Amino acid sequence: MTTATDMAGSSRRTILSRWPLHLVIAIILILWIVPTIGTLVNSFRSETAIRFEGWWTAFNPPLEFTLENYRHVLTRQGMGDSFINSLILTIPATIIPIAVASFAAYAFAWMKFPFRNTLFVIVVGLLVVPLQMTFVPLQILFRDSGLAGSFLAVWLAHTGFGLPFALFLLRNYMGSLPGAVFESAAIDGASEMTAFFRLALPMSVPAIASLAIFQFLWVWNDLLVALIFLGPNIPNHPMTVKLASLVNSLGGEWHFLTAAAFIQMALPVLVFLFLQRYFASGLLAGAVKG
Amino acid sequence: MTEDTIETMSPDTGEQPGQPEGSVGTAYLAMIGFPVGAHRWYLRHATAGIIYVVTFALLALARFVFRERVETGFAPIWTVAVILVAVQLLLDAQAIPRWVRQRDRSVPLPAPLLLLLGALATIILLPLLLDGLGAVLSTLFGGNTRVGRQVGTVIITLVGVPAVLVGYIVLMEHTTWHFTEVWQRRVRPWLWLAPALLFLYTFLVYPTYGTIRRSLYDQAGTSFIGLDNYEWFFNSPETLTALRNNVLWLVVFTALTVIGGLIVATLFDRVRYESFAKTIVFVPMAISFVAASVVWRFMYVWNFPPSPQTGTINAIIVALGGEPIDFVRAPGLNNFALIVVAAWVWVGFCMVILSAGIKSIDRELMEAARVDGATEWQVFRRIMLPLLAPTLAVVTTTMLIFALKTFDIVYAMTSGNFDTNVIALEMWNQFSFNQYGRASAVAVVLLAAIIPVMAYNIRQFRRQEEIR
Repeated sequence: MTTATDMAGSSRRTILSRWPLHLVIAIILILWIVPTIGTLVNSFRSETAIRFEGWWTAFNPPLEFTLENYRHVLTRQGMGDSFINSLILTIPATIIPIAVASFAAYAFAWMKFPFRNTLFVIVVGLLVVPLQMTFVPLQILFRDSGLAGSFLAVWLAHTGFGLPFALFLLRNYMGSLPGAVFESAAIDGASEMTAFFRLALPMSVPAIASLAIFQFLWVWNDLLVALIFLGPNIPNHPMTVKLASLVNSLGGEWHFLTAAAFIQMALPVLVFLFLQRYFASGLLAGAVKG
Repeated sequence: MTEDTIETMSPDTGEQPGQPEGSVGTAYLAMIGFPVGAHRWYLRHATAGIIYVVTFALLALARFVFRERVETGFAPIWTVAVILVAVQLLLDAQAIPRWVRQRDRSVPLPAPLLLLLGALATIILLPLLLDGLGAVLSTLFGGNTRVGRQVGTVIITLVGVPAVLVGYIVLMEHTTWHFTEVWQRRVRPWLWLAPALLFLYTFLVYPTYGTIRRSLYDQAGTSFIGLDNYEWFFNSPETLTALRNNVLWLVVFTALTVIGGLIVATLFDRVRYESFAKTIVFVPMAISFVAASVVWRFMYVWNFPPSPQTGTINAIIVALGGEPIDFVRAPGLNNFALIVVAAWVWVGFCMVILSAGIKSIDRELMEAARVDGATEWQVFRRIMLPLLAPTLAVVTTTMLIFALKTFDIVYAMTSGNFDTNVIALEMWNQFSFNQYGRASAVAVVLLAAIIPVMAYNIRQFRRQEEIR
């Protein structure tokens, strides 16, 4: 009992004595959050208010907030459609590379074959190849096969671009699973297929989860690939492209932009907040090992 | 194939693809969905399986070579497939009575039945499913047929692609059934790797080669012009500005994020509300750069002086008695303004990785130093920093690569105007002007800049592998 109070007392003292540290951290956090808060506040204000007064004045009475910007963006600027487009783009572009990578990652991790290391070193090299290197030939390929501007083209492209990282992450994860499990399975007569579906895949769920979050965020937030491969096919544009074109076309009409930006941010931030743990562990597995 | 595709390329990118998504999706799914339906059949018919797969691959290849539209390419593929199926059906029909007589149902279903099911499933069911699902979803989306059909395609893709892959693996396992164990072991890895290698080749390796090649050709891609595109790159003021700005990004952005991440991680490590604080700094990672640009516009807004400053930073400057600054246009300063936005997003990344590095350092080591009278700075400089060196290297290389590839923020905030152009944006500009030769040259320059980092990564990876 006494020790507990002592400890509480001492920790209170250290908190007090370390106030400069807490002050610095508080300043950092405020710096980090102010840009978002400012824009969020502005997204609920009228055009004239945004134009002539800073967002911080919004809290002076009389309080005047409006949902007009959101309504306008969702109904008139076609953001609703592009939200669906983003989903149509993102979901298959997340699932396909994971499905393709998991088999190959298993082969890299647990099968023996010539050039295994050389091939994987190439994968490691491909991790950082700038996507710009692929745009011209792929654009020509897609045009010739009649896929230019279609979702399928972007799915395929994202699958190709996401594969090196997916392979890298999954292979490292699968490779770190205990080998004894696979050996005893083989002794018991399990085929490679059984070992993969019954052992490797279920045991790799954490890695697959973080990979899925990664790929989801990457595709959802991607501007460049969509811009290149969806190009002039405006009805297929996802939110990022729509938002970028709004930035350029609206210029002064920022009140719509704020609402549009928050609609675009909503889903990834939610996914991120709820699944942050998986995301961070994926980052660590991907980055620290490389 | 690459040669003629480049040559016949029309200079007009505005051309719309003239076909509905649905038919493409149906064709592809039907093409690959079929073997799944019939996979068990190949258990006893390895040769037929190989013939089937090879034929389909050849037909798909032929379609690309002759550049037929998917609709027209669709018909011959199916004609051949139906003939194949019919021949196999006739050959194998004798198995049905045997299967019916047999009590043991674990024996695989004979080919004709399975084939029929598989064929029915793909030829009839899949398009029906696609159309039906499309129609249902269209009504759900308020009569929006386009979205309805596409969502239908998405759903079928989601189920179809993993199913096709699993089907492919199962099929291959069965096809190699009668191989000797040694040969199975030799062949299997390549069969498992094939889909991934195919993707890597088609979408990364082959295009990289194509781009390097294309960078030596003129705009139309018809005549070889040697290094002219590179000469243009290193002699025009616009690209040189881009190059200079990228150097600025490399140095300033990398320094800001790595040092910022290190400071933040070290500070947060000392308080109890660490995870909360980390979340706040980490969240911008989930925000797209386009959205981040919009968010930061309200920090940077500049109004012509008599009117009140509505931008956060300028309001603070004015409140402190200074002159408001037009951050996005101010020459020299605007690049830093853009870099700050990118750093705001990426410091979280550096923080998380460095924080994990800090956590893995033995606490007793630092405690011992403190007991021996080391100051906090000495603990940081002499113990933490050397132990963090490998992690710092990883973070730094990642940031360097990002700084080289930076695109979205510049595109959204300035479109490269006011001397803020960067290489990746210049590549996009040339690409959208249909200057494919120059665009390729710009991309190659970008790759060349990244190659040292790539080499370093590979060396690090090799070292890691030796420890494993």
